[in-house]
Amino acid sequence: MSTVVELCSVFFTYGCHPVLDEVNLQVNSGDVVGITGPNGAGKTTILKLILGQLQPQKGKVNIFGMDSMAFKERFRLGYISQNARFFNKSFPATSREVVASGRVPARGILRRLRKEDYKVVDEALDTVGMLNMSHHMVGNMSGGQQQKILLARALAAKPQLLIMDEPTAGLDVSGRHELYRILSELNSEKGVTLMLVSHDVEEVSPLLTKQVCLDRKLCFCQKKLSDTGKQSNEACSKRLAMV
Amino acid sequence: MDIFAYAFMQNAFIVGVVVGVLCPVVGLFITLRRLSLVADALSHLCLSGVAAALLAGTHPVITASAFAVGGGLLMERLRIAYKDYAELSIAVILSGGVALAAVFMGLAGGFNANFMGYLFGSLMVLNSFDMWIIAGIGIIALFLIFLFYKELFYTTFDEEAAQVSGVPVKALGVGFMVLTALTIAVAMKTVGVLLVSSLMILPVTASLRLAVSFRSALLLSVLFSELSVALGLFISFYLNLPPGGTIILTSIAILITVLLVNKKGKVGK
Repeated sequence: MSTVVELCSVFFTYGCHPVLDEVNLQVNSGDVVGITGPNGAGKTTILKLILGQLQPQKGKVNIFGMDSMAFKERFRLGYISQNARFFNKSFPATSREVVASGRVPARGILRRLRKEDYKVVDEALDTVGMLNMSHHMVGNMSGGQQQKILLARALAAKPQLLIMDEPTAGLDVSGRHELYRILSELNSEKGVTLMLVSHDVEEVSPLLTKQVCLDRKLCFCQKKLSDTGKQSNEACSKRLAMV
Repeated sequence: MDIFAYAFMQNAFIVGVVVGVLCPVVGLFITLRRLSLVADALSHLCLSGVAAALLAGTHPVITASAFAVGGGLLMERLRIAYKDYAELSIAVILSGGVALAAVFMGLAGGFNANFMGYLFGSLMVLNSFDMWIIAGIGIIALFLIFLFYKELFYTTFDEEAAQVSGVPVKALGVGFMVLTALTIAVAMKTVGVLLVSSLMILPVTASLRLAVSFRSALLLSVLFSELSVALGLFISFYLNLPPGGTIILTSIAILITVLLVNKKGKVGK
């Protein structure tokens, strides 16, 4: 089992306010990792470090064995930020056009998309069950459908690691369950490693192979098959209180 | 009276076709990035470029291009420095452009007919040399947009995702600002410095009402723009009206028609 993400003794601070302190984390291929914690705990910061958008003041962040800042094989990585759903709703684009932009890292800069790229785009739309709405304007869709389109865009690059920041924010119960079903299939059938950041991973808990609680320090709550999300969250909170 | 019997009208139509494609293509990206006023700020800087050229005796389009590109780069720096107040950069460049133009015109001894031609557009100031420069810069700019089309689309729709995907977002932003500046500089002879931003925004405004995809928004913008330029040039020639104002008024007429035809528009839904 190869290591996909590795954080070694990572320290990060915004000005004089330390957000992450001596954080160590290892994510292996095929893992489904849930990162939870209160507001300001550093959940989004840890993702930005992994994505190479921020550089740690101390420690190392590796992705697929390479330093995250120097990582070039971006097509191996899918990302949906917590702000992605706030796109301009009047933007004149079909879902197929939006998903096709996800092929940019796979095809490369300056290279035009080809027929085979659009085949992958249609496969990604099919995976999230939105192929029949490929020519609909994305701004006119419901929140759940838009989230699926953003997921399809991330999948269009055929990533080995998919990182999602608050993926269920703004979704109703059925929307959340549908999203978890798709993520579960991606992990079990295509072997995609998943990292999910959420305030509350209780609902997604059955999917997780590893749950991480974060509040500046980091605490692992290795998921057992018998654990419910609630038990897992409580265990994490207790462990954090001891850190 | 045959409109194409005159060399300056032939030049005007050739330039009009290039400008009619370039302005709405750049304008669509600017509008969707919510930076419509950028074109206004850069056009005012072009004004100072024209004033400097008339004072120094250099070529107005080339000098205005240099001023606009310099201003565009400065605006991008200011936009990054004041990330939460992006409109500040527009205000600084706009007022700076007008102030520079006023100083240069003062040094040159005031306004003259040539300067007024640049302000509101004049077909009489178009010669073959201008035509080749404008067409050349315009075609290069269009080629660059074609080359970076998918990256520009991705960055415009979701800048953060594009950056994570490895798109050089900052370099693309700077490059696009340069393209915008060049577009304004090459279009100013047809519609005038004060109206050039309208040709970038009005056709896009009409197209957004009807578009069913990004591609259709792009094609409709170009169609409306070309229609405005062609009709505007014909009307201005036969009724002896200023071309810039006529083209823009034609564009406004198209927008009003679209609004009347499509009352349940998509924008602002």
